[in-house]
Amino acid sequence: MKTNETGRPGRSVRTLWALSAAAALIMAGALLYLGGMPGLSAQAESLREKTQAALSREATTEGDILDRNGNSITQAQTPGEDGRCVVPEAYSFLVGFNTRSFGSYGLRGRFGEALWDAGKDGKGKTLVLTADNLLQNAAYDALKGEEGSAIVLDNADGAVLALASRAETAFDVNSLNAESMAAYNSHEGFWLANGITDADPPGSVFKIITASAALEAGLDEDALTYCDSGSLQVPGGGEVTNFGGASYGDLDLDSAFCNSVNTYFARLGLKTGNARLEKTMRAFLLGEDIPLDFTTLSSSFSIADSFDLAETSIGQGKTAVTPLQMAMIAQAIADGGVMLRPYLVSRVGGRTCSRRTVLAKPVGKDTAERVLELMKETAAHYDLTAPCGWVGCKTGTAELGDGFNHIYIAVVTPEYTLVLSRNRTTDSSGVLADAASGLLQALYGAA
Amino acid sequence: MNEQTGAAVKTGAVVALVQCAAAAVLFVKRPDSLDAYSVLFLTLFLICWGMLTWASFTGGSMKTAAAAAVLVELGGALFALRGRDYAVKQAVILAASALAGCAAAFACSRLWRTVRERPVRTLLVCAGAAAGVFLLLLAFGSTVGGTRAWLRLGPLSVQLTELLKPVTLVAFSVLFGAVPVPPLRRYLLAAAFLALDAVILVCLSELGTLLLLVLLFLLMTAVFLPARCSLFNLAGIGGAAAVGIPAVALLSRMDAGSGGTVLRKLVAVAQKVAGRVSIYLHPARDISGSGYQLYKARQALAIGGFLGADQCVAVPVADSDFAFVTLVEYFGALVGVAAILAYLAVMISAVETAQNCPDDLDCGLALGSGFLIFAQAAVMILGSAGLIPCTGLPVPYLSAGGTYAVVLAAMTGFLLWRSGRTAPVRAERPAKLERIGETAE
Repeated sequence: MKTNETGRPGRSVRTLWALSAAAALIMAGALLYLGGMPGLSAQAESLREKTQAALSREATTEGDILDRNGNSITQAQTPGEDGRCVVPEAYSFLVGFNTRSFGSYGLRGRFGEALWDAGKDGKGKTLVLTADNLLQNAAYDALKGEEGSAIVLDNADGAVLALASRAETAFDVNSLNAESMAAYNSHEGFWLANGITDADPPGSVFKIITASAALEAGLDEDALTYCDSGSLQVPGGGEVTNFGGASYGDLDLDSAFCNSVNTYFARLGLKTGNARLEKTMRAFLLGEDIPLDFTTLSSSFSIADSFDLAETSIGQGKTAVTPLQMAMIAQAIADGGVMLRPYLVSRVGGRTCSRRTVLAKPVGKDTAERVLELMKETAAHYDLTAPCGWVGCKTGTAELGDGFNHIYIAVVTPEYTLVLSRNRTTDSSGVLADAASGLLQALYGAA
Repeated sequence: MNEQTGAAVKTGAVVALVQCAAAAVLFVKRPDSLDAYSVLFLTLFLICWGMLTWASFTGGSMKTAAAAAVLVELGGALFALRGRDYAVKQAVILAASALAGCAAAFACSRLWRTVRERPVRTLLVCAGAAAGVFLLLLAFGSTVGGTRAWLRLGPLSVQLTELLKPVTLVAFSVLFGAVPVPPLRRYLLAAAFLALDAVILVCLSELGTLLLLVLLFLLMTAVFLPARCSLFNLAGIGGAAAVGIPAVALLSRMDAGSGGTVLRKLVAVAQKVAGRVSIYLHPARDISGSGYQLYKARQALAIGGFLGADQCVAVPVADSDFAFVTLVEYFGALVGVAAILAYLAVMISAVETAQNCPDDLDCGLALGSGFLIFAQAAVMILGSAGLIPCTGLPVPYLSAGGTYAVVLAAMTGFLLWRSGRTAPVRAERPAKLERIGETAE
């Protein structure tokens, strides 16, 4: 130690004592701050909660997801890992994933807590869906490898029987890794292509609402006859034309609906007026968030002037609706003006979940029946038939302005409502009639 | 039964009781680890009882012996958590290192006169040993995790860089305590020895050991040399920062595959340093990549709580760099604080021993031994808590690792031997003691 050379023999000792004690104090303090003393640090508390949740998950086997018949959709064997999707093509977007690396998506994100809530057997709760594996596969096949979605609702209670979707490339939830996720993320809007998230202009399917609004407003149908020249000058500026520049001559509501004549429905919207149309749109829950058991649907619209009104009346303009909400609108027409709340999960563990719930009564029974009549005539136009009972439909082509369209078909039968959509295609909606026909066959075959 | 035998029996009973209590805690927390602990029981008992009895018989520092025994017991509990096979291996390593500690103490008692009488030769032997370690590793070393520090001898793997710690400690102690040259020359010689270490350790990418040796140099120069030498240290630290930080920033951006051998090495080391600093500054930036280990350590500390967690995260290198974190995770912050106090006790005891040493050579060795143990623990604890950049070193007494266990046992053995040796001297030579440490300003 500093001895006779420096003349300060004791100082080093005291300094060393002090430094050592200070270092030990800092170490002990850090230890207590980082978790040893609960409540001392909010950050440590948050990390503790997250870690404990993750650890509890590591020891848990994910609960199974079953279809309505008790067939497996996902099955888990290994604790801590997402179970394997038995039907990955048809269900990947719907069941999604819940991982620490890539976050959560789909049903697994929504019901993660239940699926990882371990019982005595170390397994999470089982989810029983209203979906049917056979129908889900048929719905996925109906997409024919194109980007879009296929939805089937049960008109009796609003149960979702199928909700299949496909993005620009196929999504396989069983092979999630950094590379595949990077590839998926490189496609713009990949995760929105699920039929329940991405709201787009509905095209002529919206004419169901325009017709309903006019009928609800009490407009005299005889007074609505109109001679179409292929275009309509909108008062205050702007022009509406028919799809493909077609001209239809003398039209009434039936022929205009069947041929989906834009000029007729733009004029009808203008005659109905902004207030009446908007009232009917709101009655169909457009512009509102609709909480469902497996997602929350959103839609929007904006009508600032006459041209907006004309455009909105034909399903263009600033209106954006998800395919599932289009299915709900069609189902309301098929069910005499009663809109049901769609539900996908019928049981979580031992608990029975959603049942038939009336969401809204957007139009009166007479109006619904009249619009349904129009839809039936349209279905006849497309040769759409069902093995039993009637079929109604409405097609829609929303032009994106860059040469591509979003196309839709909404089909109703006494028992079911179907909506098929295809995104960014150069085809028009008529091509979906064949796919809808195939799905109808599968539907009645399965039933 | 004479008095000494009675004390030994009493000590044995206390140690056995403590170990039974540890076994009970293990049984409650991790029933499956009890089998592994039973394998370690006898080895742990013999080591702890041996240290305490030795200290008791020789008048050595009971503080050092008790603190080391506590830490050895905690390390044993950690080893037991990793299963029976692992426990068997660690029991063998512990026994071998304890024997090495005894051998070190015996060697000290035999070689001490030579070291004291021929300090220059000792210094040269130390420099030769350091260079020998370097050449051996350069020629036959194997690289693990980017660090070329291991020499494989059949089934054994020896981390030769660990030997640089005692070698440098002896060199510094001889320089500051036995070489008859003016203080400035001592300082320059010590700095030259440190520079030799630095070259060797940078070439081998063993930066954690280099950090410890720099800290040891700062301590020794501050304690044994006049105040102006501390000013040199401050200037050196400032200069190193002024040159080192831009150099690391520049080199770390370069392509590690370009340039000559020296440049490639420097770029690799700079990238390693920059990586560690980056994780330290932004611990949450890449928790699944470069920040993974530190994030896991933070998770483990968070869930450890006061008394330990029931479910534990898989902390990487849990038996080595993050052994302390694992200890806290399994047994709680209470036990962690006890371990910190034990490290502090080793350091304080080393200071007391140094204070009572008859000359500066012994004083330096005792102080340096305690400091190397305490500083290494502090660097790892503060690093895993995110308070300083994390580096890769074993945690004294808690980590597995044969070479370090031997070095640690040697340092502990020396501390016990030296403290026992000073006791009678102190009684007989109060004037000497007064001269060294007890005279206040």
